[in-house]
Amino acid sequence: MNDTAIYVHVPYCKSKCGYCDFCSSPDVSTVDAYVSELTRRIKAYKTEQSVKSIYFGGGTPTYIGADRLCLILDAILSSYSISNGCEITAEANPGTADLNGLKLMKKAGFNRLSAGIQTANESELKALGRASHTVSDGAKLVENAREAGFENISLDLMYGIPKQTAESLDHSLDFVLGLNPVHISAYALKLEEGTPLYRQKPVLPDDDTTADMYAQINAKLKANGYNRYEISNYAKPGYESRHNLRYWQGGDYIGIGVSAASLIGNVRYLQSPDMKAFLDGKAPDTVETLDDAGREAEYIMLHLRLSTGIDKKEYKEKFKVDFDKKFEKQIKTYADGGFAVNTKDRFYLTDKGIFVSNAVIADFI
Amino acid sequence: MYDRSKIRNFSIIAHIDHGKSTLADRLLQITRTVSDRDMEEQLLDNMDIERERGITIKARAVRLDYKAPDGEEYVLNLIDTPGHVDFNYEVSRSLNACEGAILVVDATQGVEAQTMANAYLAVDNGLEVVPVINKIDLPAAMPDRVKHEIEDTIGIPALDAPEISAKNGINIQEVLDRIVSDVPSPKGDDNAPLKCLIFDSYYDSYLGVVVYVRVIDGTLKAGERIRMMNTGAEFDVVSVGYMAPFGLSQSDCIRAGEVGYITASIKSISDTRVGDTVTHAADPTENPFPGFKKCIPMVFSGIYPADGAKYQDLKEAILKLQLNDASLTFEPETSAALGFGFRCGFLGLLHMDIIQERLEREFNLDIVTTAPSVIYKVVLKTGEEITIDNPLNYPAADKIEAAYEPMVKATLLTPKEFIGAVNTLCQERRGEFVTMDYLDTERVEIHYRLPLNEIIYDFFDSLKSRSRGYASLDYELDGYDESKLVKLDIMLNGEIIDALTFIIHADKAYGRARKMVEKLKENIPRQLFEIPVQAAIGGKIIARETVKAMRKDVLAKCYGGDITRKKKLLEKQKEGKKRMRTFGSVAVPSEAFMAVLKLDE
Repeated sequence: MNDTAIYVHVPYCKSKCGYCDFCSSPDVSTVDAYVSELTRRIKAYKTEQSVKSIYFGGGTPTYIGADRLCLILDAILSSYSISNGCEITAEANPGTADLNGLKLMKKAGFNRLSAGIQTANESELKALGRASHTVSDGAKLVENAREAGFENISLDLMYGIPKQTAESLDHSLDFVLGLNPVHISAYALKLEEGTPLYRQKPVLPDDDTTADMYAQINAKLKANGYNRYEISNYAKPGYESRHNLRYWQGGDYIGIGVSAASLIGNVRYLQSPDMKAFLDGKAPDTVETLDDAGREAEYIMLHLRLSTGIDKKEYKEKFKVDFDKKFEKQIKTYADGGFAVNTKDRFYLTDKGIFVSNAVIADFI
Repeated sequence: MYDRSKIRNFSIIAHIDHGKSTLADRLLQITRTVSDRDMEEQLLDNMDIERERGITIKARAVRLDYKAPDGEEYVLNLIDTPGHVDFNYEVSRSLNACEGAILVVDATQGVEAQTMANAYLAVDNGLEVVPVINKIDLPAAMPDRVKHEIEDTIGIPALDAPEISAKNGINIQEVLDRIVSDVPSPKGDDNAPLKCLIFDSYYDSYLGVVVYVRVIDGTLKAGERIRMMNTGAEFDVVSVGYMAPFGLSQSDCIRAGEVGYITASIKSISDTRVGDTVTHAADPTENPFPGFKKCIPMVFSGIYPADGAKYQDLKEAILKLQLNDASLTFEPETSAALGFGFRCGFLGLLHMDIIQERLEREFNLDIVTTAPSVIYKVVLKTGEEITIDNPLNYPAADKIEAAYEPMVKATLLTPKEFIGAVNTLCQERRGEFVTMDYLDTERVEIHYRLPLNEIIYDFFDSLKSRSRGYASLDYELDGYDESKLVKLDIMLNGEIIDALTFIIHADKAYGRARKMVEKLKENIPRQLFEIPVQAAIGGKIIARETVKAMRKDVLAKCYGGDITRKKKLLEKQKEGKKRMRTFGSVAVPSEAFMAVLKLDE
């Protein structure tokens, strides 16, 4: 693989959301040391691969301020060979980025912004334990971003929130569509062990209701010109997230920062979430070395998340097996059941199949 | 010192929970057979299950050396008997080895169904019965009333029965003194030809089978050749001796009147049937015991490993249990639903429960058991009569001339306020009222005739819950009655699940069918396809539920850092599915079978 991507993890947040199990914290006492360690590592890492995309995730990258983000990005841009048209994304949360900061970021090279809107209902923001912003903060962020010159804006939406209804979801969808982003991610709320929300034991909408909400989102976004290109991701044509597609298509990526994952060739690495260890220069751990079977399983697992599904010709080239032959039984079961479509060149899941993709995918790996 | 006049052989009989094992413990303690330091609750019940459930499953024996207040030294042989109707036969054999029995009655509960059954058994065997009133330290104790109850219902003098608390060690001395004074010393002639009664045996991996015997006549030494008179098997005795609480205590010989053990490198417990007579091969006794009754299993059930790969482990575990339990029968069986397993026969429900629990606990196995079944008799149109212990073999309705099911004579004892509840329960279970007698102003003895298959599901539990624990049950087999029986099949996605097929009375089929399909619906996880759950008799559907198709599973995000975790999750999901039983495209977890089979009313 002669290209790669960079992921930078920024583990700071204004306040931690109730459902969040990512590596992040409101404690910013380490932030300068962290930024300097990030830049040190960026400069120390040498690769010939050209960088196709850069992604700042968190946490809330914008929370540490545009200056610091630009400093890190500069280090990346000056250390690696950057492809033309490199997609450079920062995650942002409402209330953490002002117009000036956004302008600085744009000038430094950021060209895509991903903002966590989640819902247009204050009561649902509260239920989620998103204490740091209001609904109108979200609209303001988008407005500022546009003014700063960001055109490629993605918004996050959540469903399956306690007490959420079809009506309140519809309201959120209208709100998000009104902001006219080119990309939307919609995630079902999942209770992760150890989070405050998990401990509250809230009553979530049941699976049938959640499935209905998912269908509602699919229909509405489709009607508004967004294509679902992955289970939870929708884009106007040409605005699919290149960085995220790389994860699903099996490309290399280099993760820098606490809890960041990397895939280099056949080897997966993971930096521990331990801040002190990171600042002390601890290297990432090797998580697994993929053998051919592991690669193949991962290929299926990830490609079946995509609307394009499995490219049988590519599959045969990569794994030297005929997909149709190897999975004859499964293909028939799921195609006959309306869960998948099997064409001469591709095998992909339908809406019905995407809903239950775990069960389907588990049958292939 | 061998002095037959100083030997007392006795057992303790009681209804469950009346304190039999606790009294045995106190006797061991007070005679210093066991030091206080080594005392462990219910020492003779050495299986965990026995201790937890407070029941004795297997007979055990121990020798107590007792110095009486008059200065004389006595040898007291205590033979602990199983306290449950399932093990009646073992009880009767144990009693045969004794001259007396201590009848323990709970001062708060009074006479119960098994108190009577066991007491009658002891009287019938010519034993001196010494009643003892236990738990007199409890506030609800009514010793005087209970004494009268014993006299009225069992017909033995009880007014001067010792009032004790085994738990708190009150008046235990009096029990010992009564054993010495009331229980006759054994008769017999230690110079006559050898005659020993086998009352228990167990398998030890070093010694082989250890046989517990009561010597009636003669003397037995190590090195002598013995014969089991009914099986005809002969062995050279390796050692003889007495039973100490923590093991065996070897001696030169055992003689008439004594209770002891024999080891003779015996490999199979089936050579040492309880009830058989041991004699010298060279000089056999002329009047052996009439012989053992082969235990006839009454309840059958399939036992399968939850994980098919554990079949061999299950087999070894059952074989090991059988070494110590000749009444457990089994043969290999295959089920389309559950794979390879065993059809096992049990003496009764408790026996079945205990075996299942031991397999799970002592051998750490996850097992799935099929619905218990009794033995039905069917006369075919061809005139041929067949017996059926496996519902799968039940013939089609049009081939059957007449069907018969086993019946029991049930005796239920209850305080009068639960008469209504007990009658209702028995009638729901197709019982036929026989008689009802007041034992005294408070307690009633009710007799019913019931089909055995009605009491093998959850009769005991229902009886206890409807009588707040007060009613008790004893039963014995009472022949076969003609009956309207049907075979009920359960189908998933149109396929019959053989493990769930059972035989039931036609009038009850619909109700049970409904419950089973509902329970299955609750316990089968939603899958990609809709699954019809149906119950059918002879191809006619009588109940139906539907497991709706799963519409959504976890739609979590999956970015760089999630991939490894996600992959593991899916692999786990796949593993989980592998552990389920699949029928066509339907995966059913073992727990679903359990839930359906443990169905209570």
